[in-house]
Amino acid sequence: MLTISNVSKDYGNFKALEGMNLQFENGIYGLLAPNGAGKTTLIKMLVTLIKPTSGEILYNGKPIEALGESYRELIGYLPQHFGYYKHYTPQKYLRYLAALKGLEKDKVDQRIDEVLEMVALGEVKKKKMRKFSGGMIQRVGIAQALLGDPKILILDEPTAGLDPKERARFRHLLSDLARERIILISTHIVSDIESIANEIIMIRDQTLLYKGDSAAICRSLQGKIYEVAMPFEDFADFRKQYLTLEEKQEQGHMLVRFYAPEQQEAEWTPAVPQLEDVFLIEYANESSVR
Amino acid sequence: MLITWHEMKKAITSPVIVILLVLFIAFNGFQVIGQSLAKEELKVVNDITFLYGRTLTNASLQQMKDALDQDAKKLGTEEEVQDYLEAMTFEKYEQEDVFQQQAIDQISLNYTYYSLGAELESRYTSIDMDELREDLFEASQMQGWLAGFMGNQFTKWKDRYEEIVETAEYKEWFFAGQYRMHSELFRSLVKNIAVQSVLLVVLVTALIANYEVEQRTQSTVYTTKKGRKLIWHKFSAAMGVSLLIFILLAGFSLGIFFLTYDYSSVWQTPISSGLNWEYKLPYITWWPLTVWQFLILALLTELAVVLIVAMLAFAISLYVKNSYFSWILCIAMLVAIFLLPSFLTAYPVLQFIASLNITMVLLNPHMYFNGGTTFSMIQFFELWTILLWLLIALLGSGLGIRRFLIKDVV
Repeated sequence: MLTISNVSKDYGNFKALEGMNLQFENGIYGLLAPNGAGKTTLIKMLVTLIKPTSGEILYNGKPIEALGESYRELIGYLPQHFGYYKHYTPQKYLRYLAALKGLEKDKVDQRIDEVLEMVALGEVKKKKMRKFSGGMIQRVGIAQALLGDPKILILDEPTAGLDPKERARFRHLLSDLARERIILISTHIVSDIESIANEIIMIRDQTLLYKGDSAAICRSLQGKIYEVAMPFEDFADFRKQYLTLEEKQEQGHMLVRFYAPEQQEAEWTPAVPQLEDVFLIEYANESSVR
Repeated sequence: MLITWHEMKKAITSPVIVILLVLFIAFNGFQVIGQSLAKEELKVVNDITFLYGRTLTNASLQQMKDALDQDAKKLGTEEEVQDYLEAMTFEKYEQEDVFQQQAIDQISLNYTYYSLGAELESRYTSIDMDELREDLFEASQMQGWLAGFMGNQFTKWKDRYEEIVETAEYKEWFFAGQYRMHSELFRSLVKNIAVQSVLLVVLVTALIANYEVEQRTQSTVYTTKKGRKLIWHKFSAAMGVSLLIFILLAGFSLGIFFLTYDYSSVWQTPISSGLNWEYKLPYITWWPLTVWQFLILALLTELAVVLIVAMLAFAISLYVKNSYFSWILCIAMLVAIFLLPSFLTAYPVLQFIASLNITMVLLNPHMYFNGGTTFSMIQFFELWTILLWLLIALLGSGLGIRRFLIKDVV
């Protein structure tokens, strides 16, 4: 079990994270937050790149700082901006990282082949990465995170640059892996985690906003999400009154999905709340979401 | 070891490093070959040592003189060799055929060495050590313990000079001073090797230390099991590549030098040979050192300096986090260290301390282990300077690494 206990992080006078308490057991966790909310800070502390200003992070009751190598051995991490050596092949780069991860030498090549197959890069394992597309590079990043068969897999914006087919493949891969490990996925693409995350963690203003399963959080919006069709000329005024979640032009009118917490009109049709709605409502005032 | 090798490969496969290394070796090769016009003349020393032995004695000099007289007679003269050569005008020389001219050249060359040998004792024993002592104290305003220390050093050096005279250590054949072969090898080539090594080693060290920052891979690399402890492997790799660069540069450059010049007969000659007299004074080393011993010690000294510079560059790189800025800063620091003593002439004690100067050691291999009248010619100067800067470099690297191990990677 991974426990974050009252963790804060300050950079001078700036508070990047404040009083965070979380617990993780095996399963997939989706970390949702707009840019600047503190999710990357939280992740960097989990992977030991930065230290909390106060509080502590425990793995099975022991501080991760004290565990050192034996903790990092359990981690697989895909950073938000995955760096790589352009003149290396995926195979060569993964061999280097395998050495750093302390993998047994005689099993390294077999394991590299396995993870590259998982991300469909087996055929290009000996090609220089400088010729790779953004999606291919991201898949190399996913492969390196999986290389050490980690018990804690932390992925920061893992689907950035992946096409829809690759994203679907990635979600299936994570579902298969989730049984025996903690997987934490940080993203602002709600659809990436909606169907696979056991729990959703939301951060706002450097503090924890919500942690629980997505169905429960969606239930809290029951009766507050509606759809309505309206003429184009009415839409501008309507938008000033309500938080719109989806806007679609349809055969001479606008079809609008919106949030109305306090009132209901007869012509409005109640809609089923989605996780995306929660995200848009909770972060409605954040500039990166609007 | 595997990880250290991976780190080393990052540097040694860098095109910039490989190209510079090849260019430096080529430059040294061209310089050696370009300045080797007198290499055939230098071979005469081999003939002399083969025929008369390595040591100059009155008997061997007489034998040499007799042989030269005989050689002169073969050219059809009844004069002694000295008179024959003195009477040889340019017009007469031009009238001889090519073979005769070659024979005259050979006799003339041999006679030059004979003359140097014959005059050596009077020339060498006429060095006025008391005058040198006066120069030393007049040139600076030393007082107190420094004056006592330098006076004591000078006395020891004078004793060493007298020992050289007494044991006739200076009476061994070497290339005539006018060819400046000691300077050619040490002041030119070994210094070039050392300076080029430093230029490369600083770049390589900064590259290895900052590689993850510059490739933006620190988030991936420093979260592996090895974590920030990778920095120790980077440090080892920087030292390993520095050693490799020095070996390659020295190996190829000296290889070209010794293929060009034949040193076979002078390896065992003391570096303090009276013939090795290029400028105002001959080289008077603190200890009896043969040419090959001097060469090995000079290379080891330069290697030590190069590795110390690599450690300093590593420490700087951990703070600066940019290869090229680290390189500029490190080179600027070495230049500043070199210039510092010249700004302190009014403060002899400070000047003395500033003279324990790593750049000075780097740039003066021809003066290693030599006594003399400057602060940098005290006994064990090289050793003290290296130990002092090794301490500074270890402290700098140690603090840099310690800071890196605990700081946030952002």
